[in-house]
Amino acid sequence: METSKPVIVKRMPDRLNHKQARTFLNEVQPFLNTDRPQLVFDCSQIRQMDAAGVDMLLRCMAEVMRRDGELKLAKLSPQAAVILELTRTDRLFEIFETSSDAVKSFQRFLPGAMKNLPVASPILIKRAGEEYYPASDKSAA
Amino acid sequence: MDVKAILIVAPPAEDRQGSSAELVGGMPLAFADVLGRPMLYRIADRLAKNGIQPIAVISESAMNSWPTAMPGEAGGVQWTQASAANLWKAAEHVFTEFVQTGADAVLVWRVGAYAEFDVDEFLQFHVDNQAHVTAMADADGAPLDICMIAASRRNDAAYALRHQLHKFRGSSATYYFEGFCNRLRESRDLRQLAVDSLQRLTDIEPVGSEIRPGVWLGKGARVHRRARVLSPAFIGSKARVRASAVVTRCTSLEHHSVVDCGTVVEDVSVLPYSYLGAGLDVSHSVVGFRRLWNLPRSVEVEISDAKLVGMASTNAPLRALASAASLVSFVPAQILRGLFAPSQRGYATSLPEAMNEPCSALNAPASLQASAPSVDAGEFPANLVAARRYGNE
Repeated sequence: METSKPVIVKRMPDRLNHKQARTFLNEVQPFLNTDRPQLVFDCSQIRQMDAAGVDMLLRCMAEVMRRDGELKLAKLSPQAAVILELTRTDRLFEIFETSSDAVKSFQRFLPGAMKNLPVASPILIKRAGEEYYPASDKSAA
Repeated sequence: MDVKAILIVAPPAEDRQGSSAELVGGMPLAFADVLGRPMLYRIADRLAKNGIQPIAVISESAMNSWPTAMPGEAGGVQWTQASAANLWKAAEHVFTEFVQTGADAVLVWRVGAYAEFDVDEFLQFHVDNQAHVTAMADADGAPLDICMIAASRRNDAAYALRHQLHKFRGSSATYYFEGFCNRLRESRDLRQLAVDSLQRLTDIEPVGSEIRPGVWLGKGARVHRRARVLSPAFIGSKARVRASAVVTRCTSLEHHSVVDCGTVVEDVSVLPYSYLGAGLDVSHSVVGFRRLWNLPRSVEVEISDAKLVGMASTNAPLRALASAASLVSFVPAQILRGLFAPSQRGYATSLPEAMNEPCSALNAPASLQASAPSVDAGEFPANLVAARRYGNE
């Protein structure tokens, strides 16, 4: 059975300085702590952002990746785009024009989407002290 | 022929098409430095070279009142300060003074646009046409707010000045100028002027010595030996480019600006006393007054974080004190950070340890446990784990 996990869209505040970044991080912390979180940060409101805001985004990204989830940014305001570009962090995030585009992008790689793809080489997975086993199409699907 | 000049630093007439405030960070663009010297002084230098003396400047504020002014810099001009409402009236007074001291014609220039016209040719055109006022326009016919006014026509001058060089009475002629012109309406134009000048498309000479073809270094500028400066580029006096920084593509760093370690500066005008933090990627912008004007996006961003973009003090002892304080506080700060900051390392340090450590994604999440009974143990080896990044079951 295939179920889709919910994608959480969170709108960011208009100012992201040290204090606001911490508040925002506290707000999103429960979502970050879930298994494979799927998050979209709507950055359309951001008018001012400093290094603490960028640091908060990177923390969220690290936290999400640790749990095998994904964090995407959507609808960047020009100010946010400039700061992310300035700090070279724009290349670390997937950035979308709108929040709905970002949400849709999560659904592109559902297991169903992988069914028809040809398997070029078997997937080899190893556990400690064991031999490699090929993961067959059947078991992988 | 005795020609004198009046330069007026004033916003354009409100009814003029396509007009903008002509400011950068609240400062008139005429006061902004381009390759080591403010535009106003460059215009005055150009007029003086063509034998026009004296040159009077009328503005709301003096050049030295702005934090970007180079200490001790003077443009050889007579400065008159007036309130915004009285700028043009003050110009009338200066015009009258010039007439009384024997001027034959007065060049009135609202700065404004920067145009590299031939003063002699303009004057000759004015004399040949026997006009009371000769206004200059670009090739498209758009006025440049530059006029030559016959000294004997005081009423015509007063009329033109009251209408901010927009309307004239009596006989007036238009001189169409086809040379280099930059309207200096916004920060984009300031950037374009720096680019054109570095590419030698204008008569503007960078202030400094050309250390390599296309790279100019101002007096007292310091470039770290591990920094890269790619031609064409201008580094103003007492500017600093720290280790591993890259300065490229017609970038101009004005006096006392600082580019910190590892920062890439590409196609940027950095205004005086600006500080660019470490590890940044600044491109296609004008930076100054703790602001950044991103030209492709046409957006102005105010940056309050001094770690990213800051502004150094214009006071030299204060700057030295700040440098000393940061140097002294560096080592204790590093020690404290090492002692008390939480470790960011969450992974095994050695390779064998890392090989034996299971992936954090496989730390038995609830969904994986729930799906476990559905797997047929006969077909699926017990010691094999299939992990699918986008799987939901």
